[in-house]
Amino acid sequence: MSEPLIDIRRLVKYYPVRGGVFRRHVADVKAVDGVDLAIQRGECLGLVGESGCGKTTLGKTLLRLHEATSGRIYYNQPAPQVEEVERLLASERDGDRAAAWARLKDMDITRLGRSNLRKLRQRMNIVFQDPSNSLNPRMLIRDIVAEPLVAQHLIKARDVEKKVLDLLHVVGMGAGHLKRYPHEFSGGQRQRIAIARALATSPEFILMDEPTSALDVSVQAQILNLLKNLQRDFHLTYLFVTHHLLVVKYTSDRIAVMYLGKIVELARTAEIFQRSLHPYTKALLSAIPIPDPDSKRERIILSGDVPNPVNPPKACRFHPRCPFVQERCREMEPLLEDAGSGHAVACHRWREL
Amino acid sequence: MQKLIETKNLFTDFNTFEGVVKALNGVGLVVNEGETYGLVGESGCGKSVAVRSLMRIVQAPGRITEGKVLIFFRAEDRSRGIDILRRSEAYMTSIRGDSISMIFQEACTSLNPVLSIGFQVGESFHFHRRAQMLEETIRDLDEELGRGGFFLARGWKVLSRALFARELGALKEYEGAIDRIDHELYRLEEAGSGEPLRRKGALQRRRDRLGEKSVLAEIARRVPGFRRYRRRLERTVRRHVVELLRSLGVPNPERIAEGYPHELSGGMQQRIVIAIALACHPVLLIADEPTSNLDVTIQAQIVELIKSLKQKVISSVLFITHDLGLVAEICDRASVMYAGDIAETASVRELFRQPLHPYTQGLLASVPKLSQAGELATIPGTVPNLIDPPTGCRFHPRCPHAMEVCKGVKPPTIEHSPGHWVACYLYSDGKK
Ligand SMILES: Nc1ncnc2c1ncn2[C@@H]1O[C@H](COP(=O)(O)OP(=O)(O)OP(=O)(O)O)[C@@H](O)[C@H]1O
Ligand SMILES: Nc1ncnc2c1ncn2[C@@H]1O[C@H](COP(=O)(O)OP(=O)(O)OP(=O)(O)O)[C@@H](O)[C@H]1O
Ligand code: SF4
Ligand SMILES: [Mg+2]
Ligand SMILES: [Mg+2]
Repeated sequence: MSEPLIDIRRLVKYYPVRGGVFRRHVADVKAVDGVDLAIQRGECLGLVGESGCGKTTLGKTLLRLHEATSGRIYYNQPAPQVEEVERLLASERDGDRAAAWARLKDMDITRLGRSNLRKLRQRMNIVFQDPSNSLNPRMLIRDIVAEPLVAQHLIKARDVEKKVLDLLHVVGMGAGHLKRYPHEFSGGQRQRIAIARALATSPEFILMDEPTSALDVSVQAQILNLLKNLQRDFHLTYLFVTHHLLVVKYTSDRIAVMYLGKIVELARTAEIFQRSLHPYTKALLSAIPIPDPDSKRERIILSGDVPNPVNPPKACRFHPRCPFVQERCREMEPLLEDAGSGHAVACHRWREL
Repeated sequence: MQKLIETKNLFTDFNTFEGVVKALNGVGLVVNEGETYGLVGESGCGKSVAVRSLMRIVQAPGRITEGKVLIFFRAEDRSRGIDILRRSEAYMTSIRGDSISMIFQEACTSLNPVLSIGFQVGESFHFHRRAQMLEETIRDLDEELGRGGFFLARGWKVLSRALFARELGALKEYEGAIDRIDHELYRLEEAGSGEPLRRKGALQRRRDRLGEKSVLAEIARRVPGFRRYRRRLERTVRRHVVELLRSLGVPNPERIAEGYPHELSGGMQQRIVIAIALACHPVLLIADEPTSNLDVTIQAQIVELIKSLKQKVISSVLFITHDLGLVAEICDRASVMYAGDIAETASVRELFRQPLHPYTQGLLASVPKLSQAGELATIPGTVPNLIDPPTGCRFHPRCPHAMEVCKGVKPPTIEHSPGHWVACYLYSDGKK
């Protein structure tokens, strides 16, 4: 297997809940609660899960649009070094741990200084869910696409136009669109513009936060094809966040399933669809409506609602809704364990089901 | 098959600053008795406007400019149907309450945040099934008093009978008054705005006053011992509310009924909205994207719920969605809409097996599937602007088969094979 581009270790992100007259800190929304995940160079990793399970939070913490509460995010670090630092961190001796902390300053996204962070931002980018909110309505398309380049002084003024035009061509638009405003475009076109902008600094990594869920079916297909071709042509690495399983099936190499702030299953895409192990993944899969009137499926209907992330269920977080729940699921938290051929699952009963 | 409701050649326009949005362009659709009928299409193609026109609740700048909406479930005329666009607003009110119920898109905003769930669902029982509630209360009371010894029983029986008669009478009178006011309001609206606005305001106020001064309060003032009776009525209603919520799979319905909307998750709120829509036992339930903002797992719960209700309670369902998967799963027949036109109508199986209209074909091909390999097929171009829609077939600028005729006039809708209707020149011009 190739080296991870991004290696996430025990990442935690809590949002404070303030209450009372003094707006005191009364509780935490445990949006991301101990995530280990490696994103391989050149892959598209799909991240799926219910609304509110922490997908966007995880993605934004990766780009440091949110500050992590704890945990480490290694970006582009050789595996042996990462392992060594991790070993030092876990060590008993204070000296070892201090040494590890010192080294983390340059390795860990959550601890990078400002100038390093700025450099990093050129290599990582994000495309948001709703294209109409993420583009400044008062700027011309030309300026919107060029902004990241100009802001970081990556380009001379006389080259801007040509560069922007190149980028627009990449996403299937052209010179006629340069001097227009976002509201003059359809949703699909705006999403193309947002993608062109994300590509401007030639990033290695792009976070796609539900890039097609605001779009129509016929337009969604255009964008998905485009994203796939771009990945191939520019060797991009994607983290593709969505709640639509068929969309990630089409775009992703591997899929990570998230439930209430934790990764519960991770495997290659085909594997997830053929041999899903976690009961939650099984329920998700069986709930996808299939556009074929003759398909007959056993459907797993989950009872109950998504629980509150302020006060998540103890032990296995899925247990109140799980059809296969047993005593130990209520008592002990299942850890993410290897189920063979790169397939990982966090469930006590995966062997039996 | 018996038709339940049908629209014929329906046109609805919105007068806006930028121009006239021609949202419906001669829509014809039929919902039969006992079926689940799907209306699919992309955002802005006019699905919501179509069903709002059908219930005559198009919002402000919108106007139905042409067409008919026929209903076939009223005893008055089951063969030819009744054109509800030519009926009074009062008539519509009775239809909307008792026969057709609608779950709106963004349903959760239709719950009132300051009223308890029990109250909001109960209102629907009070309003639409008043007579049944009264009868049940009287029956309960009778039964209970019968057990309480002869003398007591007789006194109460006489009193409760009297109460019942009075209240039913008052109810009728009250409804009559509302009907008359509504009718006048409607005629005023028809006549246009301007001077009558003042009278319109006065009428509205009178109506509000009537609504405030509920019949119950009125009787309570006159009849001693009525309070107790009234509590009974509330109890009957609450019993029905809890039963209904339980049948919808709401856990712990007694407690939820005491609670308020903001305490519930999206899926639960959606169920409450469904409960309110079902309380009046509609003949037709219109569900406008009831699951679009929900997660797949919650969506699956709601879809199962609607399916099972369909078997037990409601006759027909008109289901609006942009998710073709859902249509395949729950509908018997479906129509595909494009830019204000019905492009194709068929049984769901036929629609998925043998789509005729190029738009339907494109739509089906561009949905990611479980067995997807290679590129997704796409429909080039984008959804048109309805202020200045393309001439002829509104799909022609994006259609891979477009011909010269397609740019001229709108293609007629023809029955290509029994029950399979399509509006496309590929089929009506003697080709293929
Ligand atoms: N800025 C914030 N302050 C407090 N809580 C937040 C904040 N942002 C998100 N949350 C909470 O954190 C949890 C995770 O949110 P997040 O947006 O990451 O979910 P998501 O998986 O992206 O959901 P969706 O599919 O709806 O986008 C939610 O319970 C949300 O209410
Ligand atoms: N109040 C209004 N004023 C002006 N135009 C309107 C109004 N309501 C709807 N329209 C227009 O009518 C057309 C049809 O809208 P409609 O709400 O029926 O779409 P829809 O098919 O329900 O889409 P969605 O799937 O997004 O709900 C749209 O082009 C819309 O812009
Ligand atoms: S009528 Fe013409 S343009 Fe319209 S769908 Fe048929 S072939 Fe295409
Ligand atoms: Mg999100
Ligand atoms: Mg709508």
